[in-house]
Amino acid sequence: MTFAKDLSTGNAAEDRILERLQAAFPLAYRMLGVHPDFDIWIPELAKSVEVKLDLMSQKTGNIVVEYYHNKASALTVSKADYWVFDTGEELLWFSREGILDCILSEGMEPVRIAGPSDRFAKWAFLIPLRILQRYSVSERAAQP
Amino acid sequence: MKPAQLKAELKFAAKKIYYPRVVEYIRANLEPEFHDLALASVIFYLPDQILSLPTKEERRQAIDSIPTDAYPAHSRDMVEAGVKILWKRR
Repeated sequence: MTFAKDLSTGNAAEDRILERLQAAFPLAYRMLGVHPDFDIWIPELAKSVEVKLDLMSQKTGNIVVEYYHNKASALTVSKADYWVFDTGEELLWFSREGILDCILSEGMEPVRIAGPSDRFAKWAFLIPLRILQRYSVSERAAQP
Repeated sequence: MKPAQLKAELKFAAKKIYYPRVVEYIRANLEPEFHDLALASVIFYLPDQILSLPTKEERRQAIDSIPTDAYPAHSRDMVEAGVKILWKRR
């Protein structure tokens, strides 16, 4: 997949999430252009959302949580209050702390990933979906 | 550098606990091309080491040793959040 196609697919994913959010929060909007802090802003809540499309997770069973791609990226630069992973089958919502909790509590180690369209290798945490789900917003809210 | 070697160096760096010493270790032991990567990675190893300090004051000092303008931008927030997360899990 080319960079342009990756970008287009990512934008489409952000649009889908935005559409859902706008059902409850009509003022929500997507940030345009390069905006590493977050992808969607919800004025009604003063909260931000980072959207990650990870279709490969259906095959691998792992979610990629990137933090370095030739420079600090994604987890280490995003200011988003919430992260949503679109696996193509489901949407998983996390707080930033939830993802960090998963990485630290499960003793996750970073891995180097070189995708076919990547000029530089990425550094990321490959988190099994079934483990990451335990740290989702809904699961954490259900904890005593 | 192989990932396993980087991870080993990160673990050594994190054992320095106080950020200036962590940075000093990274600069002394890794090639310059890996410094930013190491700084972005070591924040995931530091919370556990800081939590091993015996007193709250020492843990606070270790967190406060991370400059607010450290690279990457959220280093201090991430490490502090990480220490709190692991503390609650104890």
